[in-house]
Amino acid sequence: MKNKSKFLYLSPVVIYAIVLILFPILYILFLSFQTNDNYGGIIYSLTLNNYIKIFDIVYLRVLFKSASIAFITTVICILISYPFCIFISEKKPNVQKILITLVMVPFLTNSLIRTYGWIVLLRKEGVFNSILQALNICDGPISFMYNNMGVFIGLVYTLLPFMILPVYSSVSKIDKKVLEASEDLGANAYHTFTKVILPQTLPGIFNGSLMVFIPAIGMFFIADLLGGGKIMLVGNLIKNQFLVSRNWPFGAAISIFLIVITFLLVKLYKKTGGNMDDLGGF
Amino acid sequence: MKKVMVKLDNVKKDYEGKKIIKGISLDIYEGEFLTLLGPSGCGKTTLLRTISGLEKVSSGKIYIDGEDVTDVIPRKREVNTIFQNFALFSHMTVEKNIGFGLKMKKVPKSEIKTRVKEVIELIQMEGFEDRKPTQLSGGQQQRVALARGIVNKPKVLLLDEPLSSLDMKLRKQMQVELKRIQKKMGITFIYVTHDQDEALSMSDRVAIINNGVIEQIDTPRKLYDAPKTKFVADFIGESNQFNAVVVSTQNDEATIKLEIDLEIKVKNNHYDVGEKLTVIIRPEQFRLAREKDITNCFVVKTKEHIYSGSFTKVLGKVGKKEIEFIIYNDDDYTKNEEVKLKFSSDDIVILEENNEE
Repeated sequence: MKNKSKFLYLSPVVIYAIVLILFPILYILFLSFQTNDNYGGIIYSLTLNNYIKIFDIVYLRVLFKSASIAFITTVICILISYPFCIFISEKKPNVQKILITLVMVPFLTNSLIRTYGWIVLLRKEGVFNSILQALNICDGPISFMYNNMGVFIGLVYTLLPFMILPVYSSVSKIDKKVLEASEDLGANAYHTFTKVILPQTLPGIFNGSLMVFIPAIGMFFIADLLGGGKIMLVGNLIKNQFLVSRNWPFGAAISIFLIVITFLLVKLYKKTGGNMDDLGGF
Repeated sequence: MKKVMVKLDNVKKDYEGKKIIKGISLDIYEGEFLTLLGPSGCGKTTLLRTISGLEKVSSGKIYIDGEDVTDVIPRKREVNTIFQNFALFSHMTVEKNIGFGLKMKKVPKSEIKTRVKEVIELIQMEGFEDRKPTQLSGGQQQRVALARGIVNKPKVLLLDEPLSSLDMKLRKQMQVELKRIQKKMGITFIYVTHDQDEALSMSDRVAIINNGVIEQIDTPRKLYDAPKTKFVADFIGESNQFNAVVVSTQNDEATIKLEIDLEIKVKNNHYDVGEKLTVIIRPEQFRLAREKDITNCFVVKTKEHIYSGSFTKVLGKVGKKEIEFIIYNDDDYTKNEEVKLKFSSDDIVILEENNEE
């Protein structure tokens, strides 16, 4: 009886996960071993060609470029959110709640719409350039977008909350008494940070990094809108395979490749002594 | 003459306009186990934190081993604190936790290793060196927290309600353990608790703190036998407190009248006739009276009997005054509506009312 009701409670989640997550992924996995015909159709076969194709120099270059953009985005997000989270965690609990809620407010609007908003701010005749020129800070307009900078601004802006939330959760979990204990035992501020605060917040940083790095590889619309189509992320690559080249099997193979890399990163984290519980902890 | 290890000189602490500590002076001797005991919010933890330096004093001076440390930052003071919730470093192993203080003091690695090994033996935690704190029980975490402090051989170890998160049985066990370790290491312990049993069973001296001042500082026995204020009498053990007034004085004897309409003769301590006193009688100081007893006797209407194993606690009333007394199981006593009690004038404690406030 008890088991039955337990299943009943869980069934919406289970059905959701199976129908909307597991099936599509299995389908993508299945597709990745097929071949496409010239008209975008699928020829059912069993081939590893799509995976071999990923290691073509052209695609490796996209992968590398994309990974370095995602990596730099991740580092910028860490550098912004860490001090911010320490700042928040020192406020009163009520103020903390308000500030964290504010971090999540942007989620209320579709990120594509928000990216269009950035175009208004960043373009040559945009808000930023008008202000800068009106104040005579610079002569000509600065190219904020249609280049790497535009992509970075867009990625950091969109993904920052995903870094702030896990980092905040680990920073706010640090017991003030533990910091006092460190001071009491003779550690100066530098050692308290490097030996006590940083190691205890590492899971949060890693968790945030995963949640920034992986989407950053795939956010094709930011590269399209703010990069002016000059910058190709893996996300653009996948999108193009599905929508432009009509080569679904190859697009599927790249997608599976990304999923495998994500798994490997988590494995690596576990290997280096990370606790899996800390990853789900926010 | 014992050496003074910690000296507090009129220490005051205000916090957001509230006076937490209102001028405490106190000498703590080398190797002593001193407990700061008081209800929550009395300022005992704040006082402890001023000694560790984690809290700055508003005025007054603090000396450790003769040196003025009032303005010295915590890490430069030769004291260590054991925190209430242990405050262990959750990402470090037991060994690393214990060795942290030594590492920060740049003690050579080989020496850290031997000293950590020594204290791990002392706290009987061999074999747990590589565990993380989350893999330990509460009692084991407590031992590690203790070891992390004593390994540095501080001049004074400050303990902030270290046993409060442990269950009853473990707490009793750790009390014995703490006392053993303190004796063996010879370190001065300053111990904060609100648990009077803990304070009485472990301490050499106990300072009773209330409202930011020391009410009384004495050995546990003296605190119980000769409380100096109503608060102390009430806080340490159970007590019946009676208002009384001096009726007449002879040379070395005085007659006083208790509020339960009972006149007793007590030693004259320069009393004036009409002077108001407080008489304190512990529940166990009452005895069942026999028919023939006439002095120091009164009749109680019993209300409740609380059986506690070797004795029974009885709540009763004389007029409107509530009385608590104890009946031992071998007493010739049957539950009764009325009981005649007696007590000895030598046992009772008399406080002069004007000592109060």
